[in-house]
Amino acid sequence: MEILIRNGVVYDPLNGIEGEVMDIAIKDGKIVPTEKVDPKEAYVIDARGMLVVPGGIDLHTHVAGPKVNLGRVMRPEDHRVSILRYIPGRRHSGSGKTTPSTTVIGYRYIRMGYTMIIEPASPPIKSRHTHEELDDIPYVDKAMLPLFDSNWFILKFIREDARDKVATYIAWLLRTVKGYAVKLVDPGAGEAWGWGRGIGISLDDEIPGWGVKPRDIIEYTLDACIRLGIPHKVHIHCNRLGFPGNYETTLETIRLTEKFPILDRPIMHITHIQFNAYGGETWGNLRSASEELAREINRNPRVSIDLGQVIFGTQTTMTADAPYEYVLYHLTKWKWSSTDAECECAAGIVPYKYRKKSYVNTIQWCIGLEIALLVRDPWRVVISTDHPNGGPFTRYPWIVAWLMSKRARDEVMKKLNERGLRKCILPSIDREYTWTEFVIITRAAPAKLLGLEKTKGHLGVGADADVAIYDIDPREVDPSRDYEKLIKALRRAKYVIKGGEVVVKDGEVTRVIYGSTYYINPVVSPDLEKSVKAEIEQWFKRWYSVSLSTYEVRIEELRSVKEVKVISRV
Amino acid sequence: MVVEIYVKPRTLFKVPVYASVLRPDTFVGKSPRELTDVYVLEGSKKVPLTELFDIEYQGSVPSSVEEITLHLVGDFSKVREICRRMTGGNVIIEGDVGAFLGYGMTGGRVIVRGNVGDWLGTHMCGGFIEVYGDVGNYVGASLPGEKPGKGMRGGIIIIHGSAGAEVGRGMRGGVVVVEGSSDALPGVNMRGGTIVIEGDCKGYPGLNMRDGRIVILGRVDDIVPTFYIDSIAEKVRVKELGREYRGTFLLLRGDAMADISCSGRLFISLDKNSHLRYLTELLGW
Repeated sequence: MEILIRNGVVYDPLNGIEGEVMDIAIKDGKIVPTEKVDPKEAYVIDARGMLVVPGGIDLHTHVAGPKVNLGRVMRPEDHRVSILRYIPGRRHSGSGKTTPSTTVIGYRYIRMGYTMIIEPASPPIKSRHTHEELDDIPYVDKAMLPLFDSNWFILKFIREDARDKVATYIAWLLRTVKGYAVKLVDPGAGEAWGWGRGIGISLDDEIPGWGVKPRDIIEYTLDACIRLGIPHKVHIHCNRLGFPGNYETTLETIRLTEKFPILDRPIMHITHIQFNAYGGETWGNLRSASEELAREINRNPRVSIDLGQVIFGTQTTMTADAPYEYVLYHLTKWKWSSTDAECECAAGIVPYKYRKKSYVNTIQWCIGLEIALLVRDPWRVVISTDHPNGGPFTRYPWIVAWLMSKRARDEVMKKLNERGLRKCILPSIDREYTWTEFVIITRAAPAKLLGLEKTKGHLGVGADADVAIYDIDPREVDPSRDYEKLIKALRRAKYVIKGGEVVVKDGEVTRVIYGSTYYINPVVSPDLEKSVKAEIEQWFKRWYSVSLSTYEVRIEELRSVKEVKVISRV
Repeated sequence: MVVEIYVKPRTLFKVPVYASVLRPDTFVGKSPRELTDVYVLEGSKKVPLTELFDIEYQGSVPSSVEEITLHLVGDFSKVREICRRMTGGNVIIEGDVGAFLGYGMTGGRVIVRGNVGDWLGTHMCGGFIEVYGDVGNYVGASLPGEKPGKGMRGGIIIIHGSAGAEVGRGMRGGVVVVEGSSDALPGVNMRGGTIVIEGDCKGYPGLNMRDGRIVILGRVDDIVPTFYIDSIAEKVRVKELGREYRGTFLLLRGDAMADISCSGRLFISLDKNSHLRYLTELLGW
């Protein structure tokens, strides 16, 4: 199908285009030079006075996998209030607000103009389930990050100080379960939790039974990822998440990267940093530590972040940081689920309500925005709510509005806890994001952090034809004043083109298509892989409930696969 | 002035019908001809109310809810959500009714001369429901997944027959009286209000209750071990109904698992429950 987008106001930071009026031509799912498309035969979209940007990429959103499914089971009251009706030929039915069903995830993302999502925490042993669910999410491209934080093989190889084996194991596992990058959740906490410990485990606490410290896990995996040449290196949820005073642990984690060289892109992605930026000693004197963190991030170009912005209302927290969910359960006293995934990790789920009048929740809300506004380089900042921990992904337009308009922030701050606001610096920050910066933090930066900047996140020739067109004219609308208009436009895109097909028109889906699953295939030396695999096989027989042959997720099991091959130095 | 409205199903329904409009509030200021723009769901299809039911007025067009007496005559066992969010008036049902009767109702009287399905009086805030037949599970309950205490908030439900499991689940106020027997777990997650079961109970009354009263006049198969024996009571008064139950009751307090203050009270007839007599020995301490 040939598509011609006429006279749109294009923002494409990766190609240095800032608000130029130009045409964009699409042929066979790729963006091509305009002369290659015949305007008489093509489907012409008149985008006069509309914002044309690449499709959005969500770097951190819990949308698939066993714990998401358990969250759905745990929250029937969340599904009763939001039902999407079946429209023959156009969409399936579904439900759910904070824990939507698979099809609803696809519709809500594509309606906002997002075309790629990353499921950031999947236990490797449950990968088949995660992939089945990802396959069922329509429209968007997706990828999955397996968890390595308390993996017995990693712990074993670190204890043996075998750096090559760590790297080879990571390469083997990513290929076997079709993952895209390494995710570390509160390194070591899952394993310590198995012994009833691990609540607030810090970088230098020993993991019981292994003699390994969380610091070692981060360092060894980071080293392995750099040597493997994986584009998105370590995606890390820092230790002591959610505890007052945890910003020091986060700073220490950031400083671990200093031994490594500065590469073409950040080597450590600190995810939902809002939950890791608390100062003070107790919940009573909690304060925002965003200044300290932002200073360190500005200084150290090896680190990128996503926000983990809090949205007020009842949300479902689900994380592989099982000990923290135990703490949260005793705070909320409602529902709690805690699971252990064999030799790999643990997980917990607790519904939690963020209240505007709460001292702690007010500070949480401020921290996310503060860090985004204090970090000067937008190429290392990505929007996220850590869906569904901080809030549903459907609230991204509001976060964009808060970042682009001081007035929008002030409007919310009027209703917040005053004592909490005094512990934050957000009221005194005047910075407002520009249109270019908005496109960077939602599109270009995540594409670059994932190493997909050749095909995703831009509108240059050769890119995938993932385009979002919003009914808002950046030359006329001042988002700082008319933030309501901005929210309205971003909530439902005028048109969305995915893979060269128009799938959204006037904010409604028109048809169902399915995207691809990306996975990474690091090639390591065959001899090394053979010896490591022999070692894995032995342990598998001894400790796992499944056999090695059923562990692998084969390509033919997935709907559509895109392999990213990297040649490594291992 | 009293207006009698008779509603009869035209056919025997094969699929569930969601008829939340079958309540006195719908008919205020509406003549029979004006009812054509009132819709119900038959399965997943939207159908005019008059297509499924024969509606007959005896009297003029009603001007307020209190004037209306709605008679539902026939088999309504597939019809759900009758009297949803009803605010006043009288409803008399001659026959069986489906689930969700009186969901979230705030006032008025409903009398059923037949059996009722599950979820009777869910989220009820006020009003009066009397059932002459048997009732399914979850009387005066909260919906699945909701926090404890989100169930029935006020009003009175009297059941002359027996009831299913989880009577008054998540209840916070009001009175439920079951004159027959009930299945297991009455008053689970209860936060207030009164439940009276005049017949037998299958067991475990008041699991995870934090406040409120449960009175059981018949035999209880077993009680939750997290209840403490408090004293022996001679009578229990239910003020809202003006009833008084006399006899020897074991007064237990709990549930210790829900709340350390143990404000929930369980009155269990000692005469019918000889297997619980050992609890009286603990009283001497």
